[in-house]
Amino acid sequence: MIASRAHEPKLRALEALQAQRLSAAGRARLRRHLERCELCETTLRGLRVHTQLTAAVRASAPQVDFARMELAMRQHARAAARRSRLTRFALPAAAVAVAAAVLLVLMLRPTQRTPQPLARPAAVQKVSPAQPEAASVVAMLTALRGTATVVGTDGSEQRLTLDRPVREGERIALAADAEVHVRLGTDTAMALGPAARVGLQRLREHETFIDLLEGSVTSQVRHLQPGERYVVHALGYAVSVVGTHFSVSVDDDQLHVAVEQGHVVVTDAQDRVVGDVIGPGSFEVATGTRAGIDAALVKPRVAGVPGTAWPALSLPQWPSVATWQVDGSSFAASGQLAMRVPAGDVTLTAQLTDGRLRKTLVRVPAEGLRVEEDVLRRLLRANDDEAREAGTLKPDAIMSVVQAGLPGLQRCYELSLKQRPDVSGRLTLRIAVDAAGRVTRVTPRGDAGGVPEDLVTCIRTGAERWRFPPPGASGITFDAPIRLSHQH
Amino acid sequence: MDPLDPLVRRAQAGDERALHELFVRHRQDVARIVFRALGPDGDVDDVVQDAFIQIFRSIGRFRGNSKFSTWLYRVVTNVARMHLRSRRARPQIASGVAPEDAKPASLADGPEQEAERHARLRALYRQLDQLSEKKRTVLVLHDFEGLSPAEIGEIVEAPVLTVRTRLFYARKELYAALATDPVLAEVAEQVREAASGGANAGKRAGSEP
Repeated sequence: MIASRAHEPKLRALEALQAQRLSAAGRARLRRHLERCELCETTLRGLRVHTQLTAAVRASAPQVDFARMELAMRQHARAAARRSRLTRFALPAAAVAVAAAVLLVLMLRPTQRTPQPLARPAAVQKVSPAQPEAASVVAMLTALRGTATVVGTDGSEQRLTLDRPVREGERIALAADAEVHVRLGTDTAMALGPAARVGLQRLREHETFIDLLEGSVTSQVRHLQPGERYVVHALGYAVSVVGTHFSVSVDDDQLHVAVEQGHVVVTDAQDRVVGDVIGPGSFEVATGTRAGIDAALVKPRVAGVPGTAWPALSLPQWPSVATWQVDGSSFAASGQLAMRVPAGDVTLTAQLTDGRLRKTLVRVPAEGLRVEEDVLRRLLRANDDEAREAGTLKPDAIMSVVQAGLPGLQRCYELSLKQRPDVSGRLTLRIAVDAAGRVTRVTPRGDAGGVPEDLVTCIRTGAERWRFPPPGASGITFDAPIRLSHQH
Repeated sequence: MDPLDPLVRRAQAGDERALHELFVRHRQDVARIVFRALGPDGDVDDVVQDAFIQIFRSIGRFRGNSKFSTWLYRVVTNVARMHLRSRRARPQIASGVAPEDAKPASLADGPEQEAERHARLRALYRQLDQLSEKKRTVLVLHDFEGLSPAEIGEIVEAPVLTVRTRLFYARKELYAALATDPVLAEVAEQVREAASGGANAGKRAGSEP
């Protein structure tokens, strides 16, 4: 054995061996050396691992949400361009500015300015189209619960059905217990909440402008390309977005914007930015108050592909059912539900008012299916034992949601460190997730190891906003250890 | 001297569209450089955005003395380095399987493969975190980005010999660390078996008439 202290690993030779650049004699000589030199053997092992991992790094593609940063980069480009022009023309402009300033001082008396509360614009801002005129698109309903009406461009009013497409210029009004999901394009949809009244101001391929008059509209917007716009107008403000999941609500003349994912900017009628929200978070426009979001937003249903319509599945109102979960969407079970689903076998899960779950499979033909009450009764009684089983979720799926949620919790920790710079430790959260993937309960387990109560509460609240893939059946419960550490 | 790209000239003149076009044209490259510098758990989105803000601010100072791509690498690498420095000083919150408790990755192909690959990359970058900033930068640019020592020398503004020395010591330290990392033990065994299998096959092939 060669003494490792006196010996440097033969790095170049080992790299040549790994790259198969050595002659047969060189290989044989090095192998003889490796049999006696533990240090070189270890180095060769590390070199091989490195080669393997380097290939993995090169094969990995970063997942970057460019659409999300598009708006910010436009603003930075604008600011940088302004700075650059300023520098370029600074000297000649300076002389002019000095002269102008002297004149202004002579002509104007200085006036005292007091801060003014943010005035609400008088009228809804109409945004002029940025793209060449494109044909308007026809939007399809993907789900309808309860009753809603549509007012056509000619002023005629009719009851909204799943088969009635909606168009630019029309208005939709929902009853107090209704919910309507509208597919606006590829991966883009909106869900109108109970009692909502909206105007479909502009439905074009690259531009969607929605006027929200009452209630709430929750949008799921695909990643927009430069020049594309998706804007919700409400109370004179414009809420613009670049690829996100957000909700705009009007309540007692207050405008509330909640963002689950992505980034939205709120501007007033003078195009002044009055707020921007990065999800998860919310913003009260009148007061400027910022907060987290209380609960997961409705997921607007994007069903089917452009140009084709999926068959309709209709479910009657059923008193013992609290929530329907069908094909990845959840609906309160008040009122009759009609929705677009893919033809074939569809899993229908009913969460009963007593908390139990009933799950069954229905076959939806191409022409659609209306489930009658007696059939539904039979379905809900069946599979009783199966429905009580716990759901399943792969550890990787859990880990991925927890890892994605950690930056949100980091803010809790950083705030806590401002008060107690020595806070560190571990705590374990027991997290209960329902069949739809919503977190229903988060409780700290065992000793929180010196982690302050307010920090534990903040972390719990943050974890309650996490959304997991639906585990099915009656949901799952698992433990998530959280480690808090820092360096001074 | 590299003749200035008209797009770069327009951006330097304060053309907002040109700046945006630069973002669109180079965002994939910048994201790749940042990802490889920071690893799978890095705040790639934030750093990419910071890098472009820095590019927009300093493009006026680009004189065309080097290729635009070299200048871009320099700016992005420096932004990533600054981010790594600040990350070391930030409080950390972590969950799930702690790196030191992580189980060795399975060799079997299956649905867990992606998670295994991720765990291995995390282990690699954990070891990279132990290298000095200069050694790490050179190693990332050479081994992951495939740049030559001369190109790296231009980016980090150091002589080629210095780059080669940093690379030598970076690899030496990294190989020693990777060989003993428990998360990577199974990878080490896997590549050892593959290498010895290849060597035996070579011997067999060599012994045949």
